[in-house]
Amino acid sequence: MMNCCQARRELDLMQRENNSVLLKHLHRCGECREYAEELRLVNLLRTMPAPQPSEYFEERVLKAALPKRSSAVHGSVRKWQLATAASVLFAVIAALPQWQSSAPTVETAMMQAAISQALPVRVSVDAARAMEGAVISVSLPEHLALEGYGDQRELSWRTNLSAGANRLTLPVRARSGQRNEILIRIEHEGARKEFYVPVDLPAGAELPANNDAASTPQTI
Amino acid sequence: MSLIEFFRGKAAKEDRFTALVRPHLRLMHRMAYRWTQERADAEDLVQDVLTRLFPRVDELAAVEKLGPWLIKVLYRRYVDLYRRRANSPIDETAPCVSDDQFFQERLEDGHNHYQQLELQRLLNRALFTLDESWRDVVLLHDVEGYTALEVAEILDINVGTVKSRLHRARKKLRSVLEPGTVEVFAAC
Repeated sequence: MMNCCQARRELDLMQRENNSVLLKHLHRCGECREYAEELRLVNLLRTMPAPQPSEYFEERVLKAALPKRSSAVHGSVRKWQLATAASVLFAVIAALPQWQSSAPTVETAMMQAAISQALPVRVSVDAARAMEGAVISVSLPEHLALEGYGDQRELSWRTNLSAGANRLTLPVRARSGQRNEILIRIEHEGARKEFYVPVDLPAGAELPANNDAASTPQTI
Repeated sequence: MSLIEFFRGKAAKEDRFTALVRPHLRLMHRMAYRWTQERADAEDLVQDVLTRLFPRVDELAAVEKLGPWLIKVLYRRYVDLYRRRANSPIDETAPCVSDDQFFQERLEDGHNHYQQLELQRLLNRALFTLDESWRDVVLLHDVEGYTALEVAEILDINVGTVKSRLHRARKKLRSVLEPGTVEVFAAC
């Protein structure tokens, strides 16, 4: 004869087939009948179906929820195009080498600058993992300056890098049309990586009178 | 503005937010559907919550168990929207579970177990005859499998209340499965 303990174990294990000994026990034991009914209910609830979201659900809701990245990019490109048309002195898009997997990778660097006014030089650093307390140093050549930092050539600061894209924007002012390179160094827990962001000026661009000559951006 | 502030750009924030919430989006949609019973409403609710959460990305990053936390936020937003509708001049007090098409599609699929699906359709409708506070507990605990402690945290009630509501709700739902009660829930 089956006892309640055995009956409940059988109920927990039971898939589809009815066990005749178990059924006999349930017939005479009200408590186990209650248990069996509750188990049936919970099993039905636990497997209650729900429809899958429609196609591209994740992409759609994220795109709608996040600030309009596409329009921001468009705006930036538009501004860049307008600036080019107005004879911006240089605009460089440089593809830089990747780091080893444990260190950040420099994906792309987009720079915009002008002699007459400071324009943002944007560098996107793609870190493979979050890096707390990374030290970022920037070394500027003689012919470049950072808006608001006077003649300071060396700048260094500590920050946390997030996993993924991190954007550095430097308000660069160029003082001549020579080829320049900004050295950016990132240090984290003893590891160190340096890379140069080239900034090319078209010939004669350093002369305000010749600004109209540089009508197209250069790509390196 | 310091260089450090320059460095933390918008792109990084968006990527961090996406990385945090993306693994939970389908769960959020499913839970939103359990409450709203409409696929489109569920999607709108998730989108609404994400839009509100984006400025709080740092707070999200600090949450230990993000899944239940997101469900809690989702639930609160659902309640807010529901109450707002309830206060509107349009009478939406009569619950109507529009699961017909969803269950019908599955019932017509020969690979599914007809009897089980019929019982689940009955149970789903019976859930919407329960008091909301009971239904919330059943949906989270029995349907989605959260622990009593997690349910208490999501609904902001104590564990004892979760257990007592669960007990009462199950008792009522069991009556749906008894013979002779099917017709009561057969029509919306």
